[in-house]
Amino acid sequence: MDHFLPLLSLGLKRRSKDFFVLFYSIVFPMIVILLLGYLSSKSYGNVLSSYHYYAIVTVPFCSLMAVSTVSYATQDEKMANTSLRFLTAPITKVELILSKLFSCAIVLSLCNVVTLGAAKLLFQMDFKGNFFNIIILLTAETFMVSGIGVYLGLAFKNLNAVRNFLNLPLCIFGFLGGAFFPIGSLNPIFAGIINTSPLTWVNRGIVSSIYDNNAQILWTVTIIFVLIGVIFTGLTILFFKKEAFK
Amino acid sequence: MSTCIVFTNNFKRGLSNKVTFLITAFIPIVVIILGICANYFSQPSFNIGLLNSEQSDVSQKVVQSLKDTKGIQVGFASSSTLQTDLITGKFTAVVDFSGEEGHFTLLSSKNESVTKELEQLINRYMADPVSIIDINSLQETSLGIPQRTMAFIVMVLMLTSTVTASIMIKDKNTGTFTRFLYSPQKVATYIVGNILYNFTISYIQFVIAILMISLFRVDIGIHYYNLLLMGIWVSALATAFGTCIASLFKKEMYANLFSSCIALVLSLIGGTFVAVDRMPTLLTYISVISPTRWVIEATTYMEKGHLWFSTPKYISILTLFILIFAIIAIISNKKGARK
Repeated sequence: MDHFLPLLSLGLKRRSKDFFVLFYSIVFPMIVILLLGYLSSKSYGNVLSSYHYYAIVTVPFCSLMAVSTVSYATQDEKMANTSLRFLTAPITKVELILSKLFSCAIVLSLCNVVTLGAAKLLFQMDFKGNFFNIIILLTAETFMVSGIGVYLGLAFKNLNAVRNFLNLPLCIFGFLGGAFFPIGSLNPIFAGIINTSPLTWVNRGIVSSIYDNNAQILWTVTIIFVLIGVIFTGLTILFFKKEAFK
Repeated sequence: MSTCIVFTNNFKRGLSNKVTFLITAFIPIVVIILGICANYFSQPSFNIGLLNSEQSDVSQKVVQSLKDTKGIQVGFASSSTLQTDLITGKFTAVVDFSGEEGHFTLLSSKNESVTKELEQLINRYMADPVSIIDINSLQETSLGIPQRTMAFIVMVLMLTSTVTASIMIKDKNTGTFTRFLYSPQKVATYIVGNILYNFTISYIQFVIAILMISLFRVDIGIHYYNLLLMGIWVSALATAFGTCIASLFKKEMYANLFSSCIALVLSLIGGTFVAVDRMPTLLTYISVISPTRWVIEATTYMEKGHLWFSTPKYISILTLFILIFAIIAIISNKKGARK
Protein backbone atom coordinates (compact mmCIF):
# COMPACT_ATOMS: atom_id res chain seq x y z
CA MET A 1 0.00 0.00 0.00
CA ASP A 2 3.01 2.28 -0.56
CA HIS A 3 1.33 4.07 -3.40
CA PHE A 4 -2.07 4.48 -1.80
CA LEU A 5 -1.35 7.79 -0.06
CA PRO A 6 0.13 9.57 -3.13
CA LEU A 7 -2.82 8.35 -5.22
CA LEU A 8 -5.25 9.44 -2.52
CA SER A 9 -3.59 12.85 -2.34
CA LEU A 10 -3.80 13.20 -6.12
CA GLY A 11 -7.48 12.20 -6.09
CA LEU A 12 -8.26 14.64 -3.29
CA LYS A 13 -6.58 17.53 -5.13
CA ARG A 14 -8.45 16.71 -8.33
CA ARG A 15 -11.85 16.38 -6.70
CA SER A 16 -11.46 19.47 -4.51
CA LYS A 17 -10.48 21.59 -7.54
CA ASP A 18 -13.29 20.27 -9.70
CA PHE A 19 -15.71 23.18 -10.02
CA PHE A 20 -18.48 20.87 -11.09
CA VAL A 21 -18.24 18.64 -8.01
CA LEU A 22 -18.36 21.69 -5.76
CA PHE A 23 -21.27 23.19 -7.72
CA TYR A 24 -23.26 19.96 -7.74
CA SER A 25 -22.61 19.17 -4.08
CA ILE A 26 -22.88 22.60 -2.48
CA VAL A 27 -24.39 25.26 -4.74
CA PHE A 28 -27.09 23.14 -6.40
CA PRO A 29 -28.47 21.77 -3.09
CA MET A 30 -28.60 25.30 -1.67
CA ILE A 31 -30.48 26.53 -4.76
CA VAL A 32 -32.98 23.68 -4.47
CA ILE A 33 -33.45 24.26 -0.72
CA LEU A 34 -34.05 27.97 -1.25
CA LEU A 35 -36.34 27.44 -4.23
CA LEU A 36 -38.44 24.64 -2.76
CA GLY A 37 -38.41 26.27 0.67
CA TYR A 38 -39.71 29.53 -0.82
CA LEU A 39 -42.26 27.74 -3.06
CA SER A 40 -43.83 25.85 -0.19
CA SER A 41 -43.24 28.37 2.59
CA LYS A 42 -46.99 28.88 3.04
CA SER A 43 -47.67 25.15 3.43
CA TYR A 44 -45.81 24.59 6.69
CA GLY A 45 -46.84 25.31 10.26
CA ASN A 46 -45.02 25.65 13.56
CA VAL A 47 -43.35 22.27 13.88
CA LEU A 48 -40.78 23.04 11.21
CA SER A 49 -40.49 25.49 8.35
CA SER A 50 -40.32 24.54 4.68
CA TYR A 51 -36.64 25.52 4.63
CA HIS A 52 -35.90 23.12 7.48
CA TYR A 53 -37.71 20.30 5.72
CA TYR A 54 -35.95 20.81 2.42
CA ALA A 55 -32.55 21.21 4.08
CA ILE A 56 -33.09 17.78 5.66
CA VAL A 57 -34.21 16.01 2.48
CA THR A 58 -32.18 17.78 -0.22
CA VAL A 59 -28.69 17.08 1.11
CA PRO A 60 -29.13 13.25 1.13
CA PHE A 61 -30.80 13.45 -2.32
CA CYS A 62 -27.89 15.38 -3.83
CA SER A 63 -25.45 12.97 -2.13
CA LEU A 64 -27.19 10.09 -3.86
CA MET A 65 -27.09 11.90 -7.21
CA ALA A 66 -23.30 12.00 -6.87
CA VAL A 67 -23.17 8.36 -8.10
CA SER A 68 -22.90 9.71 -11.65
CA THR A 69 -20.14 12.16 -10.66
CA VAL A 70 -18.11 9.40 -9.00
CA SER A 71 -18.52 7.05 -11.99
CA TYR A 72 -17.16 9.79 -14.26
CA ALA A 73 -14.38 10.63 -11.78
CA THR A 74 -13.09 7.05 -11.88
CA GLN A 75 -12.52 7.44 -15.59
CA ASP A 76 -10.47 10.64 -15.36
CA GLU A 77 -7.35 8.89 -16.60
CA LYS A 78 -9.20 7.19 -19.44
CA MET A 79 -10.57 10.53 -20.62
CA ALA A 80 -7.18 12.21 -20.31
CA ASN A 81 -5.42 9.31 -22.10
CA THR A 82 -3.04 8.85 -19.18
CA SER A 83 -4.34 5.47 -18.02
CA LEU A 84 -1.46 3.66 -19.74
CA ARG A 85 0.90 5.17 -17.16
CA PHE A 86 -1.16 3.53 -14.40
CA LEU A 87 -0.98 0.20 -16.20
CA THR A 88 2.78 0.29 -16.38
CA ALA A 89 3.33 1.74 -12.88
CA PRO A 90 3.78 -0.65 -9.92
CA ILE A 91 0.36 0.23 -8.54
CA THR A 92 -1.89 -2.56 -7.37
CA LYS A 93 -5.55 -2.46 -8.35
CA VAL A 94 -6.52 -2.34 -4.66
CA GLU A 95 -4.50 0.86 -4.21
CA LEU A 96 -6.06 2.35 -7.32
CA ILE A 97 -9.61 1.46 -6.33
CA LEU A 98 -9.30 2.54 -2.69
CA SER A 99 -7.66 5.83 -3.62
CA LYS A 100 -10.54 6.68 -5.94
CA LEU A 101 -13.12 5.52 -3.41
CA PHE A 102 -11.74 7.48 -0.47
CA SER A 103 -10.87 10.62 -2.43
CA CYS A 104 -14.45 10.87 -3.72
CA ALA A 105 -15.96 9.94 -0.35
CA ILE A 106 -13.88 12.46 1.60
CA VAL A 107 -14.50 15.41 -0.73
CA LEU A 108 -18.23 14.69 -1.09
CA SER A 109 -18.57 14.27 2.69
CA LEU A 110 -16.89 17.61 3.28
CA CYS A 111 -19.29 19.17 0.77
CA ASN A 112 -22.19 17.71 2.79
CA VAL A 113 -20.79 19.19 5.99
CA VAL A 114 -20.48 22.61 4.33
CA THR A 115 -24.02 22.47 2.88
CA LEU A 116 -25.63 21.29 6.09
CA GLY A 117 -23.63 23.79 8.14
CA ALA A 118 -24.66 26.60 5.79
CA ALA A 119 -28.31 25.51 6.04
CA LYS A 120 -28.03 25.41 9.86
CA LEU A 121 -26.69 28.97 9.93
CA LEU A 122 -28.93 30.46 7.23
CA PHE A 123 -32.20 28.96 8.38
CA GLN A 124 -31.30 28.74 12.10
CA MET A 125 -32.02 25.04 12.19
CA ASP A 126 -31.98 23.30 15.54
CA PHE A 127 -30.70 19.74 15.23
CA LYS A 128 -31.19 19.16 18.98
CA GLY A 129 -27.71 17.75 19.44
CA ASN A 130 -27.95 15.41 16.44
CA PHE A 131 -25.83 17.38 13.98
CA PHE A 132 -22.81 15.06 14.17
CA ASN A 133 -24.98 11.93 14.09
CA ILE A 134 -26.53 13.22 10.86
CA ILE A 135 -23.09 14.00 9.44
CA ILE A 136 -22.05 10.40 10.19
CA LEU A 137 -25.16 9.12 8.38
CA LEU A 138 -24.45 11.34 5.37
CA THR A 139 -20.81 10.24 5.37
CA ALA A 140 -21.94 6.61 5.33
CA GLU A 141 -24.27 7.44 2.45
CA THR A 142 -21.41 9.13 0.59
CA PHE A 143 -19.23 6.07 1.21
CA MET A 144 -21.94 3.85 -0.25
CA VAL A 145 -22.44 6.19 -3.20
CA SER A 146 -18.69 6.28 -3.85
CA GLY A 147 -18.54 2.48 -3.63
CA ILE A 148 -21.32 2.12 -6.19
CA GLY A 149 -19.86 4.84 -8.40
CA VAL A 150 -16.40 3.28 -8.38
CA TYR A 151 -17.90 -0.12 -9.20
CA LEU A 152 -19.86 1.36 -12.12
CA GLY A 153 -16.85 3.30 -13.33
CA LEU A 154 -14.24 0.58 -13.10
CA ALA A 155 -15.83 -2.84 -13.10
CA PHE A 156 -19.18 -2.54 -14.81
CA LYS A 157 -19.53 -3.44 -18.47
CA ASN A 158 -21.76 -1.35 -20.75
CA LEU A 159 -21.35 1.59 -18.41
CA ASN A 160 -21.96 4.09 -21.22
CA ALA A 161 -25.41 2.69 -21.85
CA VAL A 162 -26.38 2.75 -18.17
CA ARG A 163 -24.63 5.88 -16.96
CA ASN A 164 -26.69 8.22 -19.12
CA PHE A 165 -29.87 7.02 -17.42
CA LEU A 166 -28.56 6.81 -13.87
CA ASN A 167 -30.25 10.10 -13.05
CA LEU A 168 -33.72 8.74 -13.81
CA PRO A 169 -33.89 6.06 -11.08
CA LEU A 170 -32.11 8.44 -8.70
CA CYS A 171 -34.76 11.12 -9.32
CA ILE A 172 -37.43 8.46 -8.76
CA PHE A 173 -35.77 7.49 -5.45
CA GLY A 174 -35.70 11.17 -4.56
CA PHE A 175 -39.40 11.53 -5.37
CA LEU A 176 -40.32 8.43 -3.34
CA GLY A 177 -38.11 9.56 -0.47
CA GLY A 178 -39.89 12.92 -0.20
CA ALA A 179 -37.15 15.11 -1.70
CA PHE A 180 -39.70 17.18 -3.67
CA PHE A 181 -42.65 17.05 -1.29
CA PRO A 182 -43.60 14.84 1.67
CA ILE A 183 -45.03 11.61 0.32
CA GLY A 184 -46.70 8.86 2.23
CA SER A 185 -49.44 6.32 1.77
CA LEU A 186 -51.51 4.04 3.93
CA ASN A 187 -52.02 1.70 0.98
CA PRO A 188 -49.67 -1.24 1.70
CA ILE A 189 -48.58 -1.53 -1.95
CA PHE A 190 -47.70 2.14 -2.31
CA ALA A 191 -46.14 2.18 1.14
CA GLY A 192 -43.99 -0.76 0.06
CA ILE A 193 -42.93 1.05 -3.11
CA ILE A 194 -42.05 4.16 -1.09
CA ASN A 195 -39.97 2.01 1.26
CA THR A 196 -37.83 0.74 -1.64
CA SER A 197 -36.14 4.13 -1.84
CA PRO A 198 -33.05 4.44 0.36
CA LEU A 199 -33.85 8.12 0.77
CA THR A 200 -37.12 7.22 2.54
CA TRP A 201 -35.09 5.61 5.31
CA VAL A 202 -32.42 8.31 5.39
CA ASN A 203 -35.03 11.04 5.76
CA ARG A 204 -37.00 9.08 8.36
CA GLY A 205 -33.77 8.44 10.28
CA ILE A 206 -32.83 12.12 10.32
CA VAL A 207 -36.32 13.36 11.19
CA SER A 208 -36.91 10.78 13.91
CA SER A 209 -33.55 11.53 15.55
CA ILE A 210 -34.31 15.27 15.64
CA TYR A 211 -38.05 15.40 16.31
CA ASP A 212 -38.84 12.09 18.01
CA ASN A 213 -35.51 11.73 19.82
CA ASN A 214 -35.07 8.24 18.37
CA ALA A 215 -31.82 7.52 16.55
CA GLN A 216 -32.41 3.82 15.94
CA ILE A 217 -33.32 4.17 12.26
CA LEU A 218 -30.40 6.55 11.76
CA TRP A 219 -27.81 4.11 13.11
CA THR A 220 -29.38 1.11 11.35
CA VAL A 221 -29.30 2.91 8.02
CA THR A 222 -25.71 4.07 8.65
CA ILE A 223 -24.55 0.49 9.23
CA ILE A 224 -26.41 -0.76 6.14
CA PHE A 225 -24.87 1.95 3.97
CA VAL A 226 -21.37 1.13 5.21
CA LEU A 227 -21.97 -2.57 4.47
CA ILE A 228 -23.25 -1.82 0.96
CA GLY A 229 -20.22 0.40 0.35
CA VAL A 230 -17.89 -2.38 1.50
CA ILE A 231 -19.70 -4.95 -0.67
CA PHE A 232 -19.45 -2.82 -3.80
CA THR A 233 -15.81 -2.06 -3.08
CA GLY A 234 -15.21 -5.80 -2.76
CA LEU A 235 -16.99 -6.42 -6.05
CA THR A 236 -14.90 -3.75 -7.74
CA ILE A 237 -11.69 -5.32 -6.48
CA LEU A 238 -12.93 -8.70 -7.65
CA PHE A 239 -14.04 -7.69 -11.15
CA PHE A 240 -11.76 -4.80 -12.02
CA LYS A 241 -9.20 -5.63 -14.67
CA LYS A 242 -6.36 -3.19 -15.09
CA GLU A 243 -6.27 -3.97 -18.82
CA ALA A 244 -9.82 -2.59 -19.14
CA PHE A 245 -8.71 0.64 -17.46
CA LYS A 246 -7.19 1.86 -20.73
CA MET B 1 -29.97 17.21 -48.37
CA SER B 2 -26.97 17.59 -46.07
CA THR B 3 -29.34 17.68 -43.12
CA CYS B 4 -30.70 14.29 -44.23
CA ILE B 5 -27.15 12.95 -44.46
CA VAL B 6 -26.45 14.02 -40.85
CA PHE B 7 -29.82 12.56 -39.82
CA THR B 8 -29.28 9.13 -41.44
CA ASN B 9 -25.65 9.00 -40.39
CA ASN B 10 -26.61 9.44 -36.74
CA PHE B 11 -29.03 6.54 -37.06
CA LYS B 12 -26.35 4.36 -38.63
CA ARG B 13 -23.94 5.21 -35.82
CA GLY B 14 -26.58 4.54 -33.20
CA LEU B 15 -27.54 1.20 -34.71
CA SER B 16 -23.89 0.09 -34.97
CA ASN B 17 -24.09 -0.69 -31.25
CA LYS B 18 -27.53 -2.25 -31.05
CA VAL B 19 -27.49 -3.03 -27.31
CA THR B 20 -26.70 0.55 -26.32
CA PHE B 21 -29.19 1.90 -28.85
CA LEU B 22 -31.98 -0.33 -27.56
CA ILE B 23 -31.27 0.57 -23.94
CA THR B 24 -31.12 4.27 -24.88
CA ALA B 25 -34.41 3.96 -26.76
CA PHE B 26 -36.44 1.82 -24.38
CA ILE B 27 -35.52 2.95 -20.87
CA PRO B 28 -37.23 6.36 -21.31
CA ILE B 29 -40.36 4.59 -22.61
CA VAL B 30 -40.48 2.39 -19.50
CA VAL B 31 -39.91 5.39 -17.23
CA ILE B 32 -42.64 7.41 -18.98
CA ILE B 33 -45.13 4.53 -18.69
CA LEU B 34 -44.31 4.04 -14.99
CA GLY B 35 -44.63 7.78 -14.39
CA ILE B 36 -48.00 7.93 -16.14
CA CYS B 37 -49.29 4.95 -14.14
CA ALA B 38 -47.93 6.37 -10.86
CA ASN B 39 -49.63 9.72 -11.51
CA TYR B 40 -52.85 7.97 -12.51
CA PHE B 41 -53.02 5.79 -9.41
CA SER B 42 -51.78 8.32 -6.84
CA GLN B 43 -54.84 10.46 -6.28
CA PRO B 44 -54.24 13.37 -3.89
CA SER B 45 -55.50 12.43 -0.45
CA PHE B 46 -55.25 13.23 3.23
CA ASN B 47 -53.93 10.56 5.55
CA ILE B 48 -55.30 10.97 9.04
CA GLY B 49 -53.76 9.03 11.89
CA LEU B 50 -55.55 7.92 15.05
CA LEU B 51 -53.37 8.10 18.10
CA ASN B 52 -55.50 5.98 20.37
CA SER B 53 -56.98 2.69 19.22
CA GLU B 54 -59.63 2.69 21.96
CA GLN B 55 -62.40 5.09 21.07
CA SER B 56 -65.78 6.11 22.30
CA ASP B 57 -68.96 5.63 20.25
CA VAL B 58 -68.90 9.25 19.12
CA SER B 59 -65.32 9.11 17.97
CA GLN B 60 -65.91 5.76 16.23
CA LYS B 61 -68.71 7.36 14.19
CA VAL B 62 -66.47 10.30 13.35
CA VAL B 63 -63.71 7.91 12.27
CA GLN B 64 -66.16 6.03 10.07
CA SER B 65 -67.30 9.30 8.48
CA LEU B 66 -63.69 10.21 7.80
CA LYS B 67 -63.11 6.82 6.18
CA ASP B 68 -66.21 7.36 4.00
CA THR B 69 -65.00 10.80 2.86
CA LYS B 70 -63.49 10.77 -0.61
CA GLY B 71 -59.87 11.83 -0.45
CA ILE B 72 -59.28 10.81 3.16
CA GLN B 73 -57.55 7.67 4.38
CA VAL B 74 -57.43 6.72 8.05
CA GLY B 75 -54.79 4.66 9.82
CA PHE B 76 -53.31 4.16 13.29
CA ALA B 77 -50.43 6.34 14.43
CA SER B 78 -47.78 5.61 17.02
CA SER B 79 -46.75 8.18 19.63
CA SER B 80 -43.10 7.09 19.37
CA THR B 81 -42.95 8.08 15.67
CA LEU B 82 -45.56 10.83 15.76
CA GLN B 83 -43.48 13.78 14.54
CA THR B 84 -41.63 11.60 12.01
CA ASP B 85 -44.91 10.40 10.48
CA LEU B 86 -46.26 13.95 10.30
CA ILE B 87 -43.14 15.51 8.83
CA THR B 88 -42.39 12.75 6.29
CA GLY B 89 -45.97 12.83 5.03
CA LYS B 90 -47.21 9.45 6.21
CA PHE B 91 -49.98 11.38 7.99
CA THR B 92 -51.29 14.82 7.12
CA ALA B 93 -52.67 15.09 10.65
CA VAL B 94 -52.99 12.93 13.75
CA VAL B 95 -56.11 13.00 15.89
CA ASP B 96 -56.27 11.99 19.53
CA PHE B 97 -59.78 11.25 20.85
CA SER B 98 -58.56 10.02 24.24
CA GLY B 99 -59.66 13.16 26.13
CA GLU B 100 -63.15 14.06 27.20
CA GLU B 101 -66.10 12.81 25.21
CA GLY B 102 -66.67 15.10 22.23
CA HIS B 103 -63.18 16.62 22.43
CA PHE B 104 -60.13 15.85 20.38
CA THR B 105 -56.61 17.06 19.78
CA LEU B 106 -55.35 17.53 16.23
CA LEU B 107 -51.64 17.58 15.46
CA SER B 108 -50.26 18.52 12.07
CA SER B 109 -47.10 19.92 10.48
CA LYS B 110 -49.20 21.74 7.88
CA ASN B 111 -50.11 25.40 7.95
CA GLU B 112 -52.78 26.92 10.13
CA SER B 113 -55.48 27.06 7.45
CA VAL B 114 -55.27 23.33 6.65
CA THR B 115 -55.21 22.47 10.36
CA LYS B 116 -58.29 24.66 11.03
CA GLU B 117 -60.21 23.17 8.11
CA LEU B 118 -59.48 19.64 9.32
CA GLU B 119 -60.60 20.61 12.82
CA GLN B 120 -63.80 22.07 11.38
CA LEU B 121 -64.35 18.90 9.36
CA ILE B 122 -64.04 16.71 12.44
CA ASN B 123 -66.29 19.05 14.45
CA ARG B 124 -68.94 18.83 11.72
CA TYR B 125 -68.70 15.05 11.71
CA MET B 126 -69.06 15.04 15.50
CA ALA B 127 -72.26 17.05 15.16
CA ASP B 128 -73.52 15.10 12.14
CA PRO B 129 -71.57 11.94 11.26
CA VAL B 130 -74.01 10.95 8.51
CA SER B 131 -73.52 13.79 5.98
CA ILE B 132 -70.25 13.21 4.15
CA ILE B 133 -68.46 16.41 3.16
CA ASP B 134 -66.57 17.25 -0.05
CA ILE B 135 -63.01 18.22 0.88
CA ASN B 136 -61.76 19.47 -2.47
CA SER B 137 -61.06 22.90 -1.00
CA LEU B 138 -58.45 21.35 1.26
CA GLN B 139 -56.31 20.12 -1.61
CA GLU B 140 -53.18 22.27 -1.68
CA THR B 141 -52.30 21.79 -5.29
CA SER B 142 -54.77 22.23 -8.11
CA LEU B 143 -52.69 20.01 -10.42
CA GLY B 144 -54.72 17.10 -11.73
CA ILE B 145 -53.53 13.85 -13.25
CA PRO B 146 -53.06 15.15 -16.83
CA GLN B 147 -51.00 18.14 -15.70
CA ARG B 148 -48.72 16.11 -13.44
CA THR B 149 -48.34 13.47 -16.14
CA MET B 150 -47.38 15.95 -18.87
CA ALA B 151 -44.99 17.82 -16.54
CA PHE B 152 -43.33 14.50 -15.70
CA ILE B 153 -43.07 13.54 -19.39
CA VAL B 154 -41.50 16.91 -20.24
CA MET B 155 -38.88 16.46 -17.51
CA VAL B 156 -38.04 12.89 -18.56
CA LEU B 157 -37.81 13.80 -22.26
CA MET B 158 -35.54 16.76 -21.41
CA LEU B 159 -33.16 14.42 -19.60
CA THR B 160 -33.20 11.71 -22.25
CA SER B 161 -32.89 14.18 -25.13
CA THR B 162 -29.71 15.55 -23.58
CA VAL B 163 -28.34 12.01 -23.48
CA THR B 164 -29.17 11.54 -27.17
CA ALA B 165 -27.77 14.98 -28.03
CA SER B 166 -24.47 14.16 -26.35
CA ILE B 167 -23.51 12.57 -29.68
CA MET B 168 -22.57 16.14 -30.62
CA ILE B 169 -20.12 16.31 -27.72
CA LYS B 170 -18.56 13.04 -28.87
CA ASP B 171 -18.28 14.47 -32.40
CA LYS B 172 -16.43 17.53 -31.09
CA ASN B 173 -14.08 15.48 -28.91
CA THR B 174 -13.22 12.97 -31.66
CA GLY B 175 -12.76 15.59 -34.39
CA THR B 176 -15.80 14.53 -36.44
CA PHE B 177 -17.33 17.98 -36.08
CA THR B 178 -14.08 19.60 -37.27
CA ARG B 179 -14.04 17.36 -40.35
CA PHE B 180 -17.68 18.31 -40.99
CA LEU B 181 -16.77 22.00 -40.86
CA TYR B 182 -13.97 21.50 -43.41
CA SER B 183 -16.66 20.38 -45.83
CA PRO B 184 -18.75 23.10 -47.53
CA GLN B 185 -21.50 22.79 -44.93
CA LYS B 186 -22.87 25.14 -42.34
CA VAL B 187 -23.06 24.67 -38.61
CA ALA B 188 -26.83 25.11 -38.79
CA THR B 189 -27.04 22.06 -41.10
CA TYR B 190 -25.26 19.94 -38.51
CA ILE B 191 -27.45 21.23 -35.67
CA VAL B 192 -30.71 20.78 -37.58
CA GLY B 193 -29.70 17.26 -38.63
CA ASN B 194 -29.00 16.34 -35.00
CA ILE B 195 -32.21 17.96 -33.83
CA LEU B 196 -34.20 15.97 -36.39
CA TYR B 197 -32.52 12.74 -35.29
CA ASN B 198 -33.11 13.50 -31.62
CA PHE B 199 -36.69 14.60 -32.27
CA THR B 200 -37.48 11.39 -34.17
CA ILE B 201 -36.20 9.27 -31.28
CA SER B 202 -38.04 11.37 -28.65
CA TYR B 203 -41.34 11.41 -30.51
CA ILE B 204 -41.24 7.66 -31.19
CA GLN B 205 -40.61 7.10 -27.46
CA PHE B 206 -43.55 9.39 -26.61
CA VAL B 207 -45.87 7.70 -29.11
CA ILE B 208 -44.96 4.18 -27.93
CA ALA B 209 -45.52 5.21 -24.30
CA ILE B 210 -48.94 6.71 -25.14
CA LEU B 211 -49.89 3.65 -27.21
CA MET B 212 -48.91 1.33 -24.34
CA ILE B 213 -51.04 3.21 -21.82
CA SER B 214 -53.95 3.32 -24.28
CA LEU B 215 -53.68 -0.47 -24.58
CA PHE B 216 -53.99 -0.71 -20.80
CA ARG B 217 -56.95 1.71 -21.01
CA VAL B 218 -55.40 4.20 -18.63
CA ASP B 219 -57.33 7.45 -19.13
CA ILE B 220 -55.24 10.45 -18.16
CA GLY B 221 -57.99 12.93 -19.00
CA ILE B 222 -56.95 14.11 -22.47
CA HIS B 223 -57.99 12.60 -25.78
CA TYR B 224 -55.21 10.55 -27.38
CA TYR B 225 -55.44 12.56 -30.61
CA ASN B 226 -54.68 15.76 -28.67
CA LEU B 227 -51.91 13.98 -26.78
CA LEU B 228 -50.20 12.87 -29.98
CA LEU B 229 -50.38 16.38 -31.46
CA MET B 230 -49.16 17.96 -28.24
CA GLY B 231 -46.41 15.34 -28.17
CA ILE B 232 -44.93 16.83 -31.35
CA TRP B 233 -44.31 20.14 -29.59
CA VAL B 234 -43.28 18.53 -26.31
CA SER B 235 -40.74 16.29 -28.08
CA ALA B 236 -39.44 19.21 -30.13
CA LEU B 237 -39.11 21.31 -26.97
CA ALA B 238 -37.22 18.56 -25.15
CA THR B 239 -35.03 17.96 -28.22
CA ALA B 240 -34.15 21.64 -28.60
CA PHE B 241 -33.40 21.81 -24.86
CA GLY B 242 -31.14 18.75 -25.01
CA THR B 243 -29.34 20.06 -28.09
CA CYS B 244 -28.84 23.45 -26.43
CA ILE B 245 -27.35 21.88 -23.31
CA ALA B 246 -25.12 19.55 -25.34
CA SER B 247 -23.87 22.53 -27.34
CA LEU B 248 -22.98 24.53 -24.25
CA PHE B 249 -20.77 21.92 -22.56
CA LYS B 250 -17.58 20.23 -23.67
CA LYS B 251 -17.98 17.07 -21.57
CA GLU B 252 -20.82 14.57 -21.53
CA MET B 253 -20.78 14.43 -17.73
CA TYR B 254 -21.34 18.17 -17.42
CA ALA B 255 -24.11 18.14 -20.04
CA ASN B 256 -25.98 15.22 -18.45
CA LEU B 257 -25.72 16.45 -14.90
CA PHE B 258 -26.46 20.10 -15.71
CA SER B 259 -29.48 19.04 -17.74
CA SER B 260 -30.81 17.28 -14.62
CA CYS B 261 -30.27 20.43 -12.56
CA ILE B 262 -31.84 22.76 -15.10
CA ALA B 263 -34.76 20.44 -15.96
CA LEU B 264 -35.51 20.06 -12.25
CA VAL B 265 -35.40 23.80 -11.59
CA LEU B 266 -37.59 24.52 -14.64
CA SER B 267 -40.08 21.90 -13.39
CA LEU B 268 -40.08 23.43 -9.90
CA ILE B 269 -40.69 26.99 -11.05
CA GLY B 270 -43.05 25.77 -13.77
CA GLY B 271 -45.56 24.52 -11.23
CA THR B 272 -44.99 20.76 -11.21
CA PHE B 273 -44.95 20.45 -7.41
CA VAL B 274 -46.77 23.59 -6.32
CA ALA B 275 -49.39 25.01 -8.68
CA VAL B 276 -48.52 28.41 -10.15
CA ASP B 277 -51.61 30.02 -8.63
CA ARG B 278 -50.44 28.94 -5.17
CA MET B 279 -46.88 30.18 -5.52
CA PRO B 280 -45.55 33.41 -4.03
CA THR B 281 -46.19 36.31 -6.44
CA LEU B 282 -42.53 36.80 -7.38
CA LEU B 283 -42.17 33.19 -8.44
CA THR B 284 -45.38 33.43 -10.47
CA TYR B 285 -43.65 36.05 -12.64
CA ILE B 286 -40.41 34.06 -12.82
CA SER B 287 -42.31 30.92 -13.86
CA VAL B 288 -43.01 32.57 -17.24
CA ILE B 289 -39.52 31.52 -18.37
CA SER B 290 -40.23 27.86 -17.66
CA PRO B 291 -41.62 25.87 -20.64
CA THR B 292 -43.09 23.41 -18.12
CA ARG B 293 -45.54 26.08 -16.95
CA TRP B 294 -46.91 26.48 -20.50
CA VAL B 295 -47.14 22.73 -21.04
CA ILE B 296 -49.17 22.48 -17.81
CA GLU B 297 -51.42 25.39 -18.89
CA ALA B 298 -51.92 23.85 -22.33
CA THR B 299 -52.84 20.55 -20.67
CA THR B 300 -55.38 22.31 -18.43
CA TYR B 301 -56.84 23.98 -21.54
CA MET B 302 -57.21 20.65 -23.38
CA GLU B 303 -58.60 18.93 -20.30
CA LYS B 304 -61.62 21.23 -20.62
CA GLY B 305 -62.36 19.64 -23.99
CA HIS B 306 -60.57 21.99 -26.39
CA LEU B 307 -58.51 20.71 -29.29
CA TRP B 308 -54.77 21.31 -29.59
CA PHE B 309 -55.16 23.58 -32.64
CA SER B 310 -58.13 25.53 -31.26
CA THR B 311 -55.87 28.28 -29.92
CA PRO B 312 -52.52 29.49 -31.29
CA LYS B 313 -51.39 30.75 -27.83
CA TYR B 314 -49.68 27.63 -26.48
CA ILE B 315 -48.40 26.50 -29.89
CA SER B 316 -46.75 29.93 -30.36
CA ILE B 317 -45.21 30.00 -26.89
CA LEU B 318 -43.81 26.47 -27.14
CA THR B 319 -42.55 27.14 -30.67
CA LEU B 320 -40.82 30.27 -29.36
CA PHE B 321 -39.05 28.23 -26.67
CA ILE B 322 -37.99 25.68 -29.31
CA LEU B 323 -36.55 28.42 -31.52
CA ILE B 324 -34.74 30.07 -28.59
CA PHE B 325 -33.07 26.80 -27.57
CA ALA B 326 -32.18 25.99 -31.21
CA ILE B 327 -30.69 29.45 -31.81
CA ILE B 328 -28.60 29.21 -28.62
CA ALA B 329 -27.33 25.81 -29.83
CA ILE B 330 -26.42 27.18 -33.27
CA ILE B 331 -24.66 30.26 -31.86
CA SER B 332 -22.77 28.18 -29.30
CA ASN B 333 -21.56 25.76 -31.96
CA LYS B 334 -20.56 28.61 -34.30
CA LYS B 335 -18.46 30.15 -31.53
CA GLY B 336 -16.86 26.78 -30.87
CA ALA B 337 -16.21 26.31 -34.59
CA ARG B 338 -14.43 29.69 -34.81
CA LYS B 339 -12.10 28.66 -31.98
